[in-house]
Amino acid sequence: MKNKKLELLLYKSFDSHLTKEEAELLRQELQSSKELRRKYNQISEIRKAVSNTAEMSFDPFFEQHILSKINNTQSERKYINVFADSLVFSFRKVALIASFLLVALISYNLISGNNYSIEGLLGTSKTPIEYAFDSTLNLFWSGI
Amino acid sequence: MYLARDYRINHLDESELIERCRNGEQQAFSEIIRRYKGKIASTIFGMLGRCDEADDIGQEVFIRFYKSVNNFRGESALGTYLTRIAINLSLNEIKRRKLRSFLSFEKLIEEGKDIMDIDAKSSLDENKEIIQKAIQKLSSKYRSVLVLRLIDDYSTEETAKILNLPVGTVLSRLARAQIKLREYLKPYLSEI
Repeated sequence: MKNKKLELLLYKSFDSHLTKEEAELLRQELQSSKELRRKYNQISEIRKAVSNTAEMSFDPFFEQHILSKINNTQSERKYINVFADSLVFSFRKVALIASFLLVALISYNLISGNNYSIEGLLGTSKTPIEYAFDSTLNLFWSGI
Repeated sequence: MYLARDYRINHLDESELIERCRNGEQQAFSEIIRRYKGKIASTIFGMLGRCDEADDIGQEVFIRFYKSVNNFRGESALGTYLTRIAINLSLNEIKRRKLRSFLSFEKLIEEGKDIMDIDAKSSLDENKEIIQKAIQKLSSKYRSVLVLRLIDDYSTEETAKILNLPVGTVLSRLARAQIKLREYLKPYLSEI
């Protein structure tokens, strides 16, 4: 139990400040215990070796790769924007023509007939199903 | 003329570089890459070891920064911010690897390779490969604290901030990581 606590204290001493009491306890134990000193040296050795693995670098063209990826994304985005703009422009034309035709149809229906319902205005009057299969009634429904 | 401009960019401070980057000045962005690529490389190589994906992940770190530069509020240092992105992308890669090895025989092959196979006679100072293999054997939660603290040389407080963990957790994970490393590297440690 005491050894475990000391070991944790030993690790803690490398990465954080110890309290006065902790530092004193560790100092005394290090002086008296050969095993603890050996552990201390091994931890130092490992830490030094791990730190030494740091000197690594990327591919020599690392920066150029990033810049070309960014430029490619930007030109792709530009292309998508041009496409979206042309789509909006052509649809605007279609929408204008369609609304003009709709107004013309409504005006024609208003002038030519006296049916002021939505179906009448749009020229989409529905024939009920029972009239559709009866030729006499269908004539009546059509107003002939 | 070009050299003079280059010289000026080299001497700009971090906030000025970020501001210029926000305005779309590519030279400022290149300078940021030059300044931080070493640190990001050590983080990614520390987390993943030498591998083909490391360069792509490194590039992705800077591309993500470039895309989100307008959202960067400067609450942490740029190096810390980039390191956080690097750690997150590396952790994603580790997850992907786990999934890949689960779905293939890769795991069996990897398990067959042992640290001991490398060169049992070389000391730690002589062979970085041994250390890297041992770091790769740690689980990602231990690996990330070890890389940030010992390889990137961040303080325990900075490490805690980057990983969004309490300092106490960082300290205990560090201790645990070193205990495990000591176990893995026992044959190479000197008996002083």
